Amino acid sequence: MLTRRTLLRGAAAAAVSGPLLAACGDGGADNQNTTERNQGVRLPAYAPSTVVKPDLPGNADGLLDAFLSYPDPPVQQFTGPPLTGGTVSAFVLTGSPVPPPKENNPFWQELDKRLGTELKLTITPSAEMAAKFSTLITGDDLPDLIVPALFLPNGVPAGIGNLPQWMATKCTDLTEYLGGDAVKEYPNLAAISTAAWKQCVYNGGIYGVPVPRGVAGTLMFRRDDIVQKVGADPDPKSFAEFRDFCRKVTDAKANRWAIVNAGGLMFLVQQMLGGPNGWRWDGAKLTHQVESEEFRKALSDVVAMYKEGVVHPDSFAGNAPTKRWFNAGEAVLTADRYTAWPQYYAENVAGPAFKISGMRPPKYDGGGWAPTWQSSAGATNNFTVFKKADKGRVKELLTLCNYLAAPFGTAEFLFRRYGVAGTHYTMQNGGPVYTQAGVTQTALGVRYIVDAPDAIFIPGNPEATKTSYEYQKAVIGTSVPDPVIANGLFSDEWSRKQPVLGGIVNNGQNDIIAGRQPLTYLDEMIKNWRSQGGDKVRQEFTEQLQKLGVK
Amino acid sequence: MKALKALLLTLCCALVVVPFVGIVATSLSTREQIVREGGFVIIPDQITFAAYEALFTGGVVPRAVGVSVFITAVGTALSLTTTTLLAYGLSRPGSLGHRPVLTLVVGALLFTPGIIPGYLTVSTLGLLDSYWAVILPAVVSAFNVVILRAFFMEIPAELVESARIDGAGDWQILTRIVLPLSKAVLSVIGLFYAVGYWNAFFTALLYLNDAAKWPVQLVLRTYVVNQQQLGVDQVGAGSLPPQEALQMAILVISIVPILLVYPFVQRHFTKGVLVGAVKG
Repeated sequence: MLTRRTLLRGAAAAAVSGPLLAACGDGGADNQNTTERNQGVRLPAYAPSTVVKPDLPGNADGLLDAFLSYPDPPVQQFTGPPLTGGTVSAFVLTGSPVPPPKENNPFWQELDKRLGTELKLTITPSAEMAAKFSTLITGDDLPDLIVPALFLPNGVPAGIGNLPQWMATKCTDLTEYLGGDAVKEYPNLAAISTAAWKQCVYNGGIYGVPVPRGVAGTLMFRRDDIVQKVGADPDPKSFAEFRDFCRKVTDAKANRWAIVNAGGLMFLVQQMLGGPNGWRWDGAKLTHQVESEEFRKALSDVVAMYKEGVVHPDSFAGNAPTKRWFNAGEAVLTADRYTAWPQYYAENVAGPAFKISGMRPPKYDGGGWAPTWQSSAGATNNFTVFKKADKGRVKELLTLCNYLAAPFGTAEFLFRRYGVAGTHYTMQNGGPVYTQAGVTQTALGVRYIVDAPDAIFIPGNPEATKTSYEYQKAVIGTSVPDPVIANGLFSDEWSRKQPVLGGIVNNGQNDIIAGRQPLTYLDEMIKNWRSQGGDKVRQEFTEQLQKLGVK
Repeated sequence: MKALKALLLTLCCALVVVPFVGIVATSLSTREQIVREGGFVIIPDQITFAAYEALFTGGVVPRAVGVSVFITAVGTALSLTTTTLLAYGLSRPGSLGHRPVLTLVVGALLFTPGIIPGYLTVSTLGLLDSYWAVILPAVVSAFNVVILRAFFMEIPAELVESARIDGAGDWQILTRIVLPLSKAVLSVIGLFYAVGYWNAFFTALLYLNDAAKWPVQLVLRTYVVNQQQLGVDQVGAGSLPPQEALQMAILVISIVPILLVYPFVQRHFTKGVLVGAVKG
C-alpha cells in the first residue's frame, strides 16, 4: 500500500528521471538547444489585437490593457467553430478543485460544441504536475497538446531535466507555422507579445504556444482602509520611514501586524536597495541574488524588524494562510502577484470600506522611488507543446489555439472564462460573477493551453481596476527583469536544481530571520548554494550571456 | 487522585476530539466567522450547509465517494483472498516452490518499485484509466502475507493432521479449519487493506487520466493542497462558500465512510493486533 514513505521515495524517483528523458532522445539531440540556434529563431511578428478597444490602454513596456467593465454587448469575433469534428486531447494543469466529468458538465459540453471537436482533457492538480508529467512522457501515447512546464518556462522547477531534448524528439517545431509573418494566419496568436514567445524557444525553434501574463509580477499589496484609520503615511519615502510605518500600523493587542511574512519584507527591502532581481549581469560576471551585498544588507534589516514584532507571528507555519490574514486585516501588507487583485475583492469580508492598492518601494536612503522587480516567470504563466503530427493536424491545432486565445472583451473570451450567462455567471455592475455551477464547471484548465494577453479587470469594481492600472503604469517603465529570463536562457542544471537551491536560500533565510541562526550563517548558506549546483548554473548561464554578447 | 486522572483523561480525549469537532464546525461556518477566528472554528455562531451543498451539487464528490467505495470493497475482497491463499501455501512446509516464492515475498518487502517501472508495468498491461490500475498493483502486501503466514503456522499441527486423517484436502483444511480460527487476524488485515485502498491517491493520480474516475482522496487533495478555491484571475466569487469550509466539508465526507467500518471490526481488532505482535 502507498504510505507517506513510499510516496517520498516516488518523488525522489521522479526527481532522478532526467536520464530517462535523455533516453528518449536520439543521442544527437543534446546539442540542439544552443544559444546560437535559439538566437537565430524567427519569432512570430507581433500584431496587437484591435478587436476590442480597452478603456485604459496598455503599452509596449508591458503595461496591460485595463477594462472598467466587460464590453456590453461583447464583440463576436468568430462566426462558427474552429474545427469540424474529431477529438483533441490535452494534458493540462489546474489550480482549482477538479471539475465535474463531461456528462455532468454542461459547460464542457457547450465548449465542445463551440470548438467543433471533442476535447479530451487529462487534468492534473498543479501540485502533482511533475510526478504525473514524468510518467506521461515515459509512454509513447502522448496527447495532442501538453503543458510541460509549471509556472517557470525555463525548465520544470520540480526537477525534470532534459526537457529540450525530449521536446526535440517528441514535439513539433512550430517555427514554419508561426515564425515571422506566418503567424498572421492566426491573428489572436499574433497578438501575444514577443517577450512571451521568446519563452517558447528551444532547440532553435518555437516549441509551443504561450499563456501570456503581465511582466509586472509581484507587488506589495497594502490595506489602504486600515492605513487610513491608523493615520500612517501610506507612502514612506525611505527605509527608515518604512520601518516607522511598520511600527505604527502594528498593534499586536488588536491582532494586527504590518506584514504577513518576513519574505515580503525581504522582497521590498531588496528592491529599496536596488538588489538584483534573481540574477545580476554586469557584462562579465553573473551574481545570484543571494550572493549580493544588497541581500546581506536587507537580511540584517529584516532580522531587526522581525525582532521588533512587525511580522505576523505565525508566518513561518507551513502553508500560512497569508491571503486570509490580509483579508481579515491581521496584516496591512502582503506581497502577491498582480493577478490576485480580483480575488482580494471577491473574498473581502471588511465590507464596502475595503480598499487595497500597491505600495511602491522608496529608495533606501530616500530621494524617489526604487525600480521594482518584474515577474520571475517573465511574460508567461506556462507554455504548451504540440505532439509531433502531420502538417494538417498541426494547422488544425493552431486554429483551435487561435480560437482559445480570443481577446478579453469578446464573446468567445467571456464564454471560455465564465461560461453561459445565467447558468455559470451573472453580470453585476459590469462584471461577471460566478455562480456555484460556474466555479466548479469552468475549472477545466483550458486557459492553461493558450490564452489571450492578460488584461487588468476587477469585476464590478471600476475604481479598483483604475487603482491597479495606475499602479502598474507607475512602476512598469522602470521595472527590472531577471536577465536570465529576459534573455530566454536555459540551463539544464538550473531546471533540475532549482528546488534544491531555492530551498537552501529559503530555509537559510527563514532560520536567520527567526533567530535560529546568526547572520553570519549567510556565508555558509552561500557556500552551500554554490557547491550544490549554484556555481554550475552560473557557468551555464554565463557562457550563454557571453555568446549572446549581452552587456 | 481520581479527579486528577479524570482531568488527564479528559485532556487526552480533548486532544483527539477537539480537532475533529473543529473540522466539522468549520465546515458548517460562515466566511465571516472563519476569517474572524483565524480559519478554525470550534463553535459556529450560525450553521450553514453551503459547503456541503456546493460539494454535492457539483457532481464530482458523490461520484468520487462511489469510486472509492468500489475500489475499497473490491480491492479488499481480492486482497484478502489472494493474501490468504498465498500465506496458506507458504505456511505449509514442502508446498510447491515454497522457498523461491517466500524469497520473492520477502524481496518485495525490502525493495519497492519506483514510479516509472510501476507506470510502465501498468501501462503495458493496458490498465491505464481503469480502476484495476489502482487495485491490482496493491492487491498483495508482502507485509500482510508475512503476518498471516506466521499466524497460520501457529495453528497446532495436530488439528491439521487430524483433519487430514479424516480425509480433508488442503482446500477443506483452509476453509473449514484454518480460516474459522483466523477471524481476528483476517479482520485486522482486511482493515489494513481497506484503509489503504480508501486512502490511495497517488496511484490514482498516476494511472487515471480521466478525472471522472478519481477516488475521493484525490479530489480531496485538489481542494486541500492546491490552496486556491478559484484559480483565479478576473474572478468575481459572489456569495460562494469559503475555501476553508469546503476543505473541511470534503474532509468530513472522506473520513466518515471509512470510520463507519471500524465498529464492525473493532471487537476483533485488539485481539488481532496482539496476535500479530506476539506470535508474529
